[in-house]
Amino acid sequence: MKKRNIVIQDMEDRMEDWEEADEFIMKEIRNKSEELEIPDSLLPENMMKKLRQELKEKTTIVPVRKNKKRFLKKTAAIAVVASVCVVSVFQLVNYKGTITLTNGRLGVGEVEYGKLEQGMVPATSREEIYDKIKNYDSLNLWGYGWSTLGKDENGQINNEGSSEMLPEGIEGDQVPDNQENYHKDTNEQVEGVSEGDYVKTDGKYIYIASKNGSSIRIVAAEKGYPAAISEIRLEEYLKDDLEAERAGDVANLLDEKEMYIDGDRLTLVISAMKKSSYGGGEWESAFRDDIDYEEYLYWQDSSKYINEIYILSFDISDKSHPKFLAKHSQQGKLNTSRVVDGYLYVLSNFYYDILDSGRYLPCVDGEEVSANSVYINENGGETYTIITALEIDSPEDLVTNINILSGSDLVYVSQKNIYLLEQEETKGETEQGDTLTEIYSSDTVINKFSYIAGKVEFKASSRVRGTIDKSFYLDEYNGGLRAVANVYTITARRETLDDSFVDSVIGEQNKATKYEQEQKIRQELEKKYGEDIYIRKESNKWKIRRFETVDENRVYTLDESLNILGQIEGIAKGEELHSARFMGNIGYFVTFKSIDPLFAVDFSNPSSPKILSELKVPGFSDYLHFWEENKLLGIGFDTEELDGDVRTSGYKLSMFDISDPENVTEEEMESKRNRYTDTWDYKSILISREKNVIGFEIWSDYGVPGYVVYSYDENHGFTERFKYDMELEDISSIRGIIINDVFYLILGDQRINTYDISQNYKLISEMKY
Amino acid sequence: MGIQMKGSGRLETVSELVIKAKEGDTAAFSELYQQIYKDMYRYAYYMLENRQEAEDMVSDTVIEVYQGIRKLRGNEKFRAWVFKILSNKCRARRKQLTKKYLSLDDESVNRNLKTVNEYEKEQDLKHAFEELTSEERDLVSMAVFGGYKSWEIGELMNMKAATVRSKISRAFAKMQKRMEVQL
Repeated sequence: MKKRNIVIQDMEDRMEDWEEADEFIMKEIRNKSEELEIPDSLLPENMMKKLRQELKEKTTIVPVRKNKKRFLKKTAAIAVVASVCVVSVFQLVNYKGTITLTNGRLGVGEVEYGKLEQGMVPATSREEIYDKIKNYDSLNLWGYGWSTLGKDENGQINNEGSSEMLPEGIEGDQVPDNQENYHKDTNEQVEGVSEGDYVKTDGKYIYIASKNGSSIRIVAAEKGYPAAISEIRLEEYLKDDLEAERAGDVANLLDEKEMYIDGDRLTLVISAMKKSSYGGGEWESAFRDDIDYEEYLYWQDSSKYINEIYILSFDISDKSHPKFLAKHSQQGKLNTSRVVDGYLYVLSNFYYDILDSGRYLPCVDGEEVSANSVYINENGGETYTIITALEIDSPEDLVTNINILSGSDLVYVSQKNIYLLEQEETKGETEQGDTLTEIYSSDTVINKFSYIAGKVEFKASSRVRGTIDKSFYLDEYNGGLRAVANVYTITARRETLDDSFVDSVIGEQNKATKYEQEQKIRQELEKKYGEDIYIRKESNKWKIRRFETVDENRVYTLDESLNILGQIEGIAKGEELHSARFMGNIGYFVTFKSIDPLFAVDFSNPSSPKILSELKVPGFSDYLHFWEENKLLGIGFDTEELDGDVRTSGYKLSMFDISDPENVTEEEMESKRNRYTDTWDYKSILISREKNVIGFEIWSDYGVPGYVVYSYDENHGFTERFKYDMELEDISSIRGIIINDVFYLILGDQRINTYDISQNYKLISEMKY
Repeated sequence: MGIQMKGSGRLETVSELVIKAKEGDTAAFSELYQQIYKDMYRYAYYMLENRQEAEDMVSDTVIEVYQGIRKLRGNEKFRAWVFKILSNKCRARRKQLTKKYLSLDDESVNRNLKTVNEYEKEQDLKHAFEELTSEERDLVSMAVFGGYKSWEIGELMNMKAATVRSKISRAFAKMQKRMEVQL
């Protein structure tokens, strides 16, 4: 684990932006790459010969200018109105993101913490959206916002927070309709909120949307002797949309697949790449004067692709003959999807690129969205989160489409609300005489939208200090929200040293070289401020720049309107946040630097959350799962120290006894050297208390994947029950699912192995389809 | 990187070379090529894991660059422009190759020409790259061989600079396990 050590010198230095440790590795890579032999034909003398040959044979090829459609007749007529109150405050140097400040004190309006009064509102016209985008673009924020110092970051404290307690319950597996047909597939974060996956089962059939291919297989489970029933070929439905030249090309253009099975309905959400012919828009020279449109066109490779999501619905009442029902599309890269109460919600992120197509509004079902379906806030953003909803049983029409213009990419979906999270790098500045103080920080803006029966509505927005980069760090409870965040703030101070101080340090040694003088000054300053100091002499004055870092974790509680009710600061300083899970009034989270504290927090009084305990164990958990009453399972990594550095050495399982949250203990632990697992892919973790299964994918040092299943009991701890090593096989994906007592291992796109759980995972059959 | 000594002792910047190359000065173009061809090949090779493919991609790119150099505005952006073309080609080709399960690996290297040590080192890095997803490979290659900064990569790939940095850190962590690297 490397310690973050971001040092920011000048704005120009942001160009040298890799962390030290990464720089080192890059150098190593470069060094090693020098061993690579360059083919003779590429040596300069040979290449030049070849080029002269080319020149003789062909005429110079000029990039073909695509026909520029007259995109928006209105575009030319739109008056270019800068958002004067914002832009005039500071001035930007170039489009690359370096920013020169003309004023000492800045602000884009005033940024508050806590509930944001403005929130998000539907736009009233295309012009309004266009202006927002133009404004955002001209700010060149690239994810950077501004804050003024001294603002109260707690916002309003509302002491009327509810302390009503809901009955406690453990998130369970799917409650079986009857014990005859227990089944378990996708691991989901919130009970009752289904998440899509490429493998699903309804207890009788297994549905596999091949990871690398373009078909969906329906396979009868047959108690361990799977039999292929039918196949849905996606080329049939997508070939034309994707403008694939041949049906066989479609597979190349498909990416993530999230599938849902609901009774007789199979719904598939697919992320795809579609060929795009650019040059659809008018060149807006007001945007960027320093880029030549032709140059920009030339930069674009002719095989440019754009992201598009397709939603396909099928009627599978007859498993041998799935019937196509409907198709929908929305632009952007798939963010996530959910199915709740018979409605599908699909979220995608669309990065508008005016230079590319002249389009600044996304398309859903082939048509540009309406202005009032677009939600905007004060600053605008660099991406749209497109949300569509449809009713699974009547998929012909989309029930809802809203498009949120902001920079958010992380989503947390509770049983009632969709939370869109936006990470915003912020910078504040203040000047006092000779001292310039800059604070660099990272905030999270939370936008809350309620959803029910396909209807999605904006509720509230809030800003908290810190980074929240996993949906598991949020949890809705009793209408309110609790969150864990990692806060990393750098304060940089530029000062001119007092002449008297300088004299006292250097003294009579003005014969000493400038370097020697600098060293003396540095010695003195380091005593006071530590090592992060930059010193230079400028026209007889000594100037320094020094850095202070705040690196800590925080807990927040917010109410239904996203007012901040309470918070705990200063937790686990210098440590990274790794996992969190909440149950009833208690939340657990893990931080790590060289050991892993597992914190338990009491939320029974939302205005005043309290840390109940801190358990330190080696290694860390990246994923937490409530196992049964009073037990918390952690899946993560073991670590070891090597030359003063901490590294992961293999995966680790922990079972924590949480019967007394004030005295959490690690009851059992199991670890394996040189084997790792992808804890970010939580959907693929197979956990079933009913069948005592903890199954997950493992990776070896050589990148060779496998699968392992553990069981747990109090007397024996973790026991490895099953392992599959894919040493020499070329399998692109593995998934495990359970139907009654049979464990199905879905290997790649073409094989299923089955094992009998009741007979110690004895192999039942190996099937290829 | 942008400075080249000429016989007269005067330093020539990339911009000056590009201006000359635009006028048809092949010696100038050759000089520009000299400065980046190795990185281009390395980039393509670690993206595509195949010598022949890498060679083809670099060749194709250089031809396109040679023929289109007059269109380049902002002469100092030469390197970024060339890598943009190269990376688009490599990305598209890689997608084609991986999906079709075509052999990405070639052991056709002539081992006799290298010492065992050199060969091992080369394989070391190759294996390290194999740990990565396509996207990670792309990001790492652009940073290391393309010489792009994280915000530049962010622009090219529609990501925030911070996301680029953290993905690359993750990728390095994976690679590090395969390389003998002391932090």
